[in-house]
Amino acid sequence: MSIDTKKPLFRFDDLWVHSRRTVNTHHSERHNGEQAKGVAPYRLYQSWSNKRQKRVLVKNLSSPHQALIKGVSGELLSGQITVLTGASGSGKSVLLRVLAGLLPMSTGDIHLRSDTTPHQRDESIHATSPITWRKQVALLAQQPQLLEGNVLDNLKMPYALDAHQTQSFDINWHLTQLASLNKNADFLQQEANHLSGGERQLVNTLRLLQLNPRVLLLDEPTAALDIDTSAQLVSLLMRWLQANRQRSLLWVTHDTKEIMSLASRHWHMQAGVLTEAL
Amino acid sequence: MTLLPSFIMSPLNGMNHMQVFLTYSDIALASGLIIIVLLISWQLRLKLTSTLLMAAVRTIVQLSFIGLILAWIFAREQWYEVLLILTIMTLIAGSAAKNRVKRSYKGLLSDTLIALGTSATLVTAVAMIVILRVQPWYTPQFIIPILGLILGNSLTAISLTSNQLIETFHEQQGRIEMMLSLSARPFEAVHEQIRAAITNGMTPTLNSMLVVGIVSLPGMMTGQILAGADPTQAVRYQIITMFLICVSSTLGCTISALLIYRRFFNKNKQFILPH
Repeated sequence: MSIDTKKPLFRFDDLWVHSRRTVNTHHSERHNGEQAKGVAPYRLYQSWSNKRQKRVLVKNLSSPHQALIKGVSGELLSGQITVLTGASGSGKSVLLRVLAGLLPMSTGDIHLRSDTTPHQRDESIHATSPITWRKQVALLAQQPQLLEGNVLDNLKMPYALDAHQTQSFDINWHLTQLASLNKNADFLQQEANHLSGGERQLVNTLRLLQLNPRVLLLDEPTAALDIDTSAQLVSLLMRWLQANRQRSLLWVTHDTKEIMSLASRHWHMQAGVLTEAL
Repeated sequence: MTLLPSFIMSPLNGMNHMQVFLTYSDIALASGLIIIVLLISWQLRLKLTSTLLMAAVRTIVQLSFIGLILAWIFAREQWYEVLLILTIMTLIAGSAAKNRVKRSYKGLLSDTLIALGTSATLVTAVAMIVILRVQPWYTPQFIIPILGLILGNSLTAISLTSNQLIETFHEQQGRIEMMLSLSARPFEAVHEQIRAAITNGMTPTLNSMLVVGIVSLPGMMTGQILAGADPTQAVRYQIITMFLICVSSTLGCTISALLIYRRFFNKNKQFILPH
């Protein structure tokens, strides 16, 4: 069985994402309006009336549908790294979260190539259960979130979830990866809250990679790392990508030096619009 | 001032108990004790005189007023009248629980009312029909104080749970999204937060159960003993009441947590912040 590697592994078409900007008027902040005067029932009425007017005013002032992502389209090819750059607030993180199925889109579609037969239709995000989608398209966030316990507890955690009940934790795979990172088996027993920022990101990455997603979306994974740890992480991800040609990486970064030489494509995002950088 | 000791048959077990009927003169005598407090305030320049006087007057006025209301309530004989009173009590308690939550959202009142109403109704029904076997079940002298106790404690527990859960969801969005990105179901993604919120809501009830009888005597038991009840019966009532409160609080916190967490996920199992 052969897979048509020219066909994009992952494709998104005409994505629009809007935010709903409304002030949470239900928060119990003190209203800074004028103090009501008079008897208690009238003061109560005036207080209610002021709050109502404030809600109406705020709703009229806020723009309910600000476009965060404006009709972006793109595709990721198998075995390739695509770098995405852009200024803060340009929508890069929003795009990654939408592609990972973690944030709702207003319109558009995302397709993942089926990995069973080449004649099967691509899987659309709208026709795939969210859990199944996230098993195949995974997001590595900038800030590693580790749970209480040691490194081994964190690595084993996903196998306690229903979605991964049929898979087994492979400690040998982790020992191999740790060895390439100059860490031995003792590292597994270290408490998560005693790890450095770089070590936390390495554990975070291993925890995700072991689940074998097909598309990995990386949101500035090396932003808070020192040079050495950053290089280790890049090396880890490259080995993972090369181990199976049916994988792809979309890498958001501000620092293109470390990754541009490895990337096949470079996208740039500005104010919610995606372009191919030259 | 007249003291009217009276030896009467206790309705609880047929034994003779002494009851003391109090008059307004007795209240005036007790109010005189406030003078001692006023003297202390004046001597030490605590500047509490007006506050103390206001508090004492409000105590007398408010409790007298509520006594008149209770007398009218306890005189109701029709089940629908009692049911209406119970419904009003539940609505007020639900509204009070919701108002204690800092970050509200559209639908929080209905979630709170469902949690409080379901737990209090179930437990009260079991108490009246199965445990106490009161006939008829809607006897106001029993059902209203019992529901009142259950509502009062459950609304505190539910508001503690709701507050913590909603605040945690706002503060730990990154952690919840991390769990979702690992393909966790919504409940799996927030299980730890739900567990912590329910535990927090149950803490006052559990603490009370741990120290009852050692640190202090509960008010209900004290009142019954003062009214001439057999202490052993009063203790049994108190044990039953504390179990009812424990069960109702647990049920209420759990239902509340389950209703609230569902608001924070859409149909695509994405984490959202409800408005």
